[in-house]
Amino acid sequence: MKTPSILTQAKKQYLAQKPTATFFKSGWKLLEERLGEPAHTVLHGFFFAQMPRFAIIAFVVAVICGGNVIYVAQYSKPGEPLFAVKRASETVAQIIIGRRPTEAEEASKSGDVQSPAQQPDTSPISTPKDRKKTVESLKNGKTEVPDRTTGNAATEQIQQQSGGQSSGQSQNGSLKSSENPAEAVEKVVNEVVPRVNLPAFP
Amino acid sequence: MRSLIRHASETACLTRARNGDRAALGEIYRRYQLRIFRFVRVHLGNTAEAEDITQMTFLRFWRAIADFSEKKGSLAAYLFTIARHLVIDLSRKHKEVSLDVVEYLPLGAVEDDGLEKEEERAELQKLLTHLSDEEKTLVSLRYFEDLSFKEIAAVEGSQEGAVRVHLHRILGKLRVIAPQSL
Repeated sequence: MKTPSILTQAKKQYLAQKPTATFFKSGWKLLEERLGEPAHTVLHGFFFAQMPRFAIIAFVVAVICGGNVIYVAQYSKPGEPLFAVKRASETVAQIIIGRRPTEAEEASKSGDVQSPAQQPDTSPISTPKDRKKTVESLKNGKTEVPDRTTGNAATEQIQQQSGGQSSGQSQNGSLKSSENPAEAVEKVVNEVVPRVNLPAFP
Repeated sequence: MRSLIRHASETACLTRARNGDRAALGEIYRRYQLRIFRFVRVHLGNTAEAEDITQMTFLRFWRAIADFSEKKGSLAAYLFTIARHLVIDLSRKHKEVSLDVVEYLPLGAVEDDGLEKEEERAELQKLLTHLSDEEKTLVSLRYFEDLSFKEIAAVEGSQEGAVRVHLHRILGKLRVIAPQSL
């Protein structure tokens, strides 16, 4: 093996290389004059050295936190703080996916369909005057129930009878309050039973 | 044991130097001054330029000392990396500078006890003449500076295995050219 001996000899020659005496003795002094202050302090240097790592960690944390907030916001309802996030995420998703808005969404945007809150109040007892009138009629035993289908008020007589007596009374007057209930029932049965061929009421 | 003590004191010097202690940098300078000089001198073949590059190496190290971490590599590897980059920069500026054409300069005022004959002086130059700059770097760091393959890989910016393969090829090349050069 001749090569190692060559390298051994070459190493001796390599190590024999020496600088000038001036450089060897005063090299450090010359360098010290040129040093100045270090460019970075320790914390500054550490921050810049670790900056890529910090950036990656911050990005991952932001993605996780942001994703969780958006996920939770999907269950929010109007009026809640995260509802705006939900709307924003839906808008972004709509832009990204390119989904066309539904007819209901378009209608709500154009204003053709109004929500109940947006509709004018047509209730007959919406004003204080109507409320007062209703309260008075209730006190007098007479109630006005608004007919929401027609918008007119229908009057209904409510008679309060004490003593556990039945309040059932037909409007055609077939059953009068002056009659004895037993007699009234007998009269009705006697009218109905002959039609169905049942024995007469005893 | 000696290397452990040396490593511990080197780490302490680095810590102090990072805090702006110039005396600590002076200690590092005294340890590595000659090693860096020799490494650069082999590549440039010019003592004055080698001294200048050595100073520049430590100046650049001082300016970027906060970026250096011993976890990434040894201090020696870091300093040789800086020196190698400076040599490459200078070689680009002065393409004519080459060991093939540069006259082997006298080693200055310092006495050369190991080089008694002028013929022996030229042996190293003749040997390295057959090698490229990268091969000179590998041979210098491995066989003259006794750096590990890992440290050489850090200096070269390559893999440890690639350094091993490359050095093996260089040895084969030297075996072929040795009878002619020596």
